[in-house]
Amino acid sequence: MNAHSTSTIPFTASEETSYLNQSEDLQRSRRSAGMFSGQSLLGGVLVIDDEPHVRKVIRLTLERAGYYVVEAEDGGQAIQVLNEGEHPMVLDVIITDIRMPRINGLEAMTYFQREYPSVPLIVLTGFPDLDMATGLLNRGIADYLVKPVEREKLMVAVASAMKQRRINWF
Amino acid sequence: MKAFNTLGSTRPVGNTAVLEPVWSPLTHPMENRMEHLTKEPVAHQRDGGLPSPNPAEPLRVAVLGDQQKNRHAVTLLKRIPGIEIVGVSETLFEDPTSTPGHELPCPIWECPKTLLNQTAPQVVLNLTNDPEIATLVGHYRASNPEPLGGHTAILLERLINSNTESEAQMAQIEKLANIGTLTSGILHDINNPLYVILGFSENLTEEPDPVTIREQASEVLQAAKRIITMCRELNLYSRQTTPQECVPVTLTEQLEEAMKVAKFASGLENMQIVRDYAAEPIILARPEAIIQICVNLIINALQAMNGQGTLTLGARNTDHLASISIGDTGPGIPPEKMDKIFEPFYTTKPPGQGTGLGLHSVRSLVQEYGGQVHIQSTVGQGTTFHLEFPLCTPSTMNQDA
Repeated sequence: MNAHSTSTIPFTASEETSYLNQSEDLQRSRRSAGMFSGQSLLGGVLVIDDEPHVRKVIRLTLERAGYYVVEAEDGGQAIQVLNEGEHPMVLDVIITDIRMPRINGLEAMTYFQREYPSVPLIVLTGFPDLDMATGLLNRGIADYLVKPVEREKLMVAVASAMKQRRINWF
Repeated sequence: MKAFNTLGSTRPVGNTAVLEPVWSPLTHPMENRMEHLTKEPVAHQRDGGLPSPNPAEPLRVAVLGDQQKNRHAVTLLKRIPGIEIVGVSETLFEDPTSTPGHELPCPIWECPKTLLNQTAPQVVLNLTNDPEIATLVGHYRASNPEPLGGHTAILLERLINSNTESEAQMAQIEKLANIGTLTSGILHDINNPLYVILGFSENLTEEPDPVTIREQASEVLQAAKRIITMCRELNLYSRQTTPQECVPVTLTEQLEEAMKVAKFASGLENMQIVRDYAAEPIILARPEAIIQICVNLIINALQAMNGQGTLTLGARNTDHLASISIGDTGPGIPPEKMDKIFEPFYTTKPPGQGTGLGLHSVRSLVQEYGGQVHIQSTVGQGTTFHLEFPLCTPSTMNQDA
């Protein structure tokens, strides 16, 4: 990340400012709880995908934009990761694939919506399925994205999910 | 390159004693019939009379023609129950550099004369336009065969060709339909590396660190290569092929080739795949036909298990049989449906998941190679398809050798 610290990302700059202005209390409470030790102020994202290369790309994209990223390779691991340590407080948005071994994205999302209803879910799938997209959006997911997704699109989706998260928080 | 004489080779043919040919230059039922028909409109007298056909016994057919005609004829006739191809002989070689097509799933004779003498066919299908062959067949009397030559043979040949064409089209339609059912898996597997390429390239345009640039460029390259490999595999499977020669094919290799396509079936990520290869059976067949059989059966098995279960691929040699098996732990086939599953257009799958042609074509392709399909199914436990083919041994590869 050091190499990127000088580059400016126009979209996130204003977002970050507004975030700080609007939820200073939240930031403070998190900081005092030790959540933000060395972590991004923009928020934390849990990325679930069975393909390590894909996780690497999402991590790179999000970290460059200033987010804190945690990875999981399937639904089961994601549930474990989310429940670990301070993660329930740190992770604001979950980006998940659908088709994964063991516990797939749909099963994991059912769990997240039940246990962490305030954490917005973004689906990032390799196969566009209109019926599934409609069904999931009706179930309240924040966005349904199809790979390959451009950086701008992903950033907009994550930023708007972050907003939703802040609304849910209070 | 072997030299051929249309009227018989003077070389010793194999280790079998050549029977003294029974040739009569004067009389033959068909010759007589033709003469009668042309000369006087009187009902012909059959010379000695032909044995009345017994529908219960397989019809013994000998085929004479060139390489391609024989292949088409054998392919079609092999699929029809009740026909035994006692042998074929290749009598015309338009291309002197071509090797004789000795890869047919039936005995091949270098000399048509020997073929007739040794096999005593009931019907001789003469697909050549060679007058010498016509004479040869006309004069052969040992088993009193019915010769099909001249215009009858042309008619038959056209029927065979038309059937061969429609079979090839059906095979192609089926392959594309299979690809259709695999779309979600294919897209998933293409879009993942495509996203890797997109994501890293977006970053590369702004990346100042040379080490990171090299690292990410190599990720891009690998992702592109993954897509190329996948497209190649799919293209190999889906391209339109002209019917190929039968060659010795290793069944386990074809099962693995089929897996490269069938792996796109949805739900494979949670399946156990067990390979139980006790042998590497070799049979004479067209490789793409065997792949097609395996793809159909593997997709069926995966769809039957609906995301969870064990796919078992087996292979073994037993006596003179090469067998492979494809087993699933799905719901099984109820006995009352067992008769229907091979019927064309019979399907239990939701629209878009199957054409209802899969098992029908599996059975006719297996029969084409002299094989059989056995199903072992228990409701609630699963289904295993066993395919048995005649094992490819040197003697079946070349009868004359």
